[in-house]
Amino acid sequence: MELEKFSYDNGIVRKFAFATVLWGVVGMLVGLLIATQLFAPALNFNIPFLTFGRIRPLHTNAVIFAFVGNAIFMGIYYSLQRLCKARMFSDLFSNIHFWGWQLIIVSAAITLPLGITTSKEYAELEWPIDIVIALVWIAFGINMFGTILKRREKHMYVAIWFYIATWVTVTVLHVVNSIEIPVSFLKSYPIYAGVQDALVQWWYGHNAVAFFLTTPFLGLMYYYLPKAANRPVYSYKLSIVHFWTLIFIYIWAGPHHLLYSALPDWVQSLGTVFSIMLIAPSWGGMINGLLTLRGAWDRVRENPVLKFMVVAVTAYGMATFEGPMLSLKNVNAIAHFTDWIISHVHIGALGWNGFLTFGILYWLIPKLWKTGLYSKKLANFHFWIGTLGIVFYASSMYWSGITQSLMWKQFTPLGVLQYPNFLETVLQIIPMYIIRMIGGSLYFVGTIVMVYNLIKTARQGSFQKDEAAEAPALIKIDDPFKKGIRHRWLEGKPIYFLFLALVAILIGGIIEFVPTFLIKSNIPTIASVKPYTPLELQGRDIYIREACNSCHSQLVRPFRSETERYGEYSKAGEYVYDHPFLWGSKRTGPDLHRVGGKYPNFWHYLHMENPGSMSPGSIMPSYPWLLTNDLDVSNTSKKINVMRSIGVPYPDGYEEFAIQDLHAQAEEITLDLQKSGAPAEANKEIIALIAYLQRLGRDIKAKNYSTNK
Amino acid sequence: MFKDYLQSIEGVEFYAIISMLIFISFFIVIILWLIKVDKHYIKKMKELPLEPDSYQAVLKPKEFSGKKNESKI
Repeated sequence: MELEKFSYDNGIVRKFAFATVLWGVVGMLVGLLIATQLFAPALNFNIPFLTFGRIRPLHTNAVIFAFVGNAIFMGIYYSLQRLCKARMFSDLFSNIHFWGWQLIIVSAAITLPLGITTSKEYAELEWPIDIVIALVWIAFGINMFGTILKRREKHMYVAIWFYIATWVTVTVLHVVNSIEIPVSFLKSYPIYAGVQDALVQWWYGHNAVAFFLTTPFLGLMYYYLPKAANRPVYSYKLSIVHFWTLIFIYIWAGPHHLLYSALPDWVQSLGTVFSIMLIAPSWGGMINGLLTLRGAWDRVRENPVLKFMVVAVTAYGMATFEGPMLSLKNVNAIAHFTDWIISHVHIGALGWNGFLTFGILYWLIPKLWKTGLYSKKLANFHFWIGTLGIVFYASSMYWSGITQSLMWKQFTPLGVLQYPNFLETVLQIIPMYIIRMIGGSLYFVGTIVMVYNLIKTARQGSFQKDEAAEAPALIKIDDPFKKGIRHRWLEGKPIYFLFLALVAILIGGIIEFVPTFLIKSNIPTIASVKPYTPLELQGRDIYIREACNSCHSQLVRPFRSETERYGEYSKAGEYVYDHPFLWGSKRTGPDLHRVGGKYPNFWHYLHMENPGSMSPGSIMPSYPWLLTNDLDVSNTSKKINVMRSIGVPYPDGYEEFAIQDLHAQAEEITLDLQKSGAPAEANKEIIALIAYLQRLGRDIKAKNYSTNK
Repeated sequence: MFKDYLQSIEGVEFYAIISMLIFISFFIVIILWLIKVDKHYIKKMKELPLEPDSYQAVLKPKEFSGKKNESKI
């Protein structure tokens, strides 16, 4: 048989490896800053760009899309070439992918601190960046499928299926969740509103975890764990079953992020049921990973790469057991909106994604530079300090989450809330926030040690950009294996495979969406719920800019502890004009859905200037710039037009008068503030924000509110 | 009030039933395939990542592990 000569592109793998490490350090550093701000809010230095709300999405985006994203591409570009016995399809596409992705990260790092955000978690980037993401993702797809099509190995190893499922699903998720109408170059409104927007967002959010943080990493696990242990995966059959069940079931489970919300009950239940079913395929993956090491555990003791991988796979198992438990309604009732969830996601991020990435880096860098690891001792140190960091992080957040929840729900024997002041429940967990920061710091120190170790490793070796290789050409021969039902037929045909994977993930999404969207006209509208006034709309966009929804929910759940604390529970019909929805996912501060009318305007004015003045000990950052920034009203009529085009019933021609209404309402609030003694001016941002906050949740308090079908 | 949604969709219960059927039948097909599949094939697939990155270095490539290797370089 003729051997064909070709070369593996190691240059692109090196680029992605470098980006992984760099953005990992940046993402963790930003994480440390916001963790510290939670007990020392002064650390925002009253600079808008450093305020918690704006840089919290920077942390999540940097870790998910920059650190983990680059790690995925590093891992795929190395393993795909070897599994296909072929160089990447196109060096040009590889480079477009690499530089395009870094461009996206840099634009995120610039726009998010500037407050340019869609407010949708893990999809905060505005529409021009969304388009670049789509283009770069397509370049990656062409490159990957091109490589698969020109491969010299007939069969596609299971890792490649995970890569294909990742690509196709992320494509669908990104497109569906990013449908938005631009108002200006850096501002847009999603076409979905309220309940539907929430459903789409959490279908996206949940499956971003599934198909960006899970399936590509399982693919990497299936390649790098056998490589590092030098033994084949425990059960290939198990990998087939768990692959198909995983991608099929995962897509359904999104609504478990919206339990007890205003989402239709049947969708919530569907989310719960599929979440529980998800344990089986998730644990299939974990068991397959751990059992690959059966009889070779002695090697784990000596090999830091395997140590990292074992803890990663174990963390995956823990997180995927905890996830379904959290989707049980009774557990969710306690855990949702608390720090418990923060702990849950960090088991995944620090343990599963972080440690697997570290394991791969420790294996790959010596390989690429044709040398041994510079220091095994330092790698072991990294392992232990990293593990300790995770333990500190997770335990403090569990403690804090459960404490919060119990205090929120505690009644006295007389039947009133024992801690009616939300702040009490915050002050109680400050020590836990400090411990969390210590845990994060330990983890960060480990990462820095790794950086040093890897640089030293690279220095002592020699890097070869193009690694020469030879392999026999793929020739059409009869399959030597006996006939049967031919899954392997599928494996020989990547395009069919792509199609089937697409069908598998679409079924769940469609069944969830179609009814919720079809019945749009049937959503019980509440006659007294009216569109926002122009000033409120501008105020809402400031709320979005400062990402108040990072810490404040707008969703009162139907529990007595919540209706006592906040007021009437939230109804779906109240959100019909909310583009985007702002339910939030975390209550670092209290819920705001019924805050309208609760405090006088003057209270909000002083509170925004310095929250500590109204709530001593508050950890909310100060927003003094809202009092001095002029409100930009130039786009008011454009906003009204866009809102009308996506279904908000502003009367025709209203955009002409909107600005007058805006000024009139602003004057009214300013007068009230001035009467109270505030040096307020009508053209400042604070006026719009106060208008919005005072509007929140008030519509159904209007007299004679009735539901129309 | 959300029950009103459900009632307003004709035959809404079939959504769930149909999707479950699709899922279960797909799952059964996969299980059937796994029962019937050739062991040698599974072995070959398992060892795929452990094959050498280049055949240059090895005298005899593992063509299909577990099967007689009749092809020659």
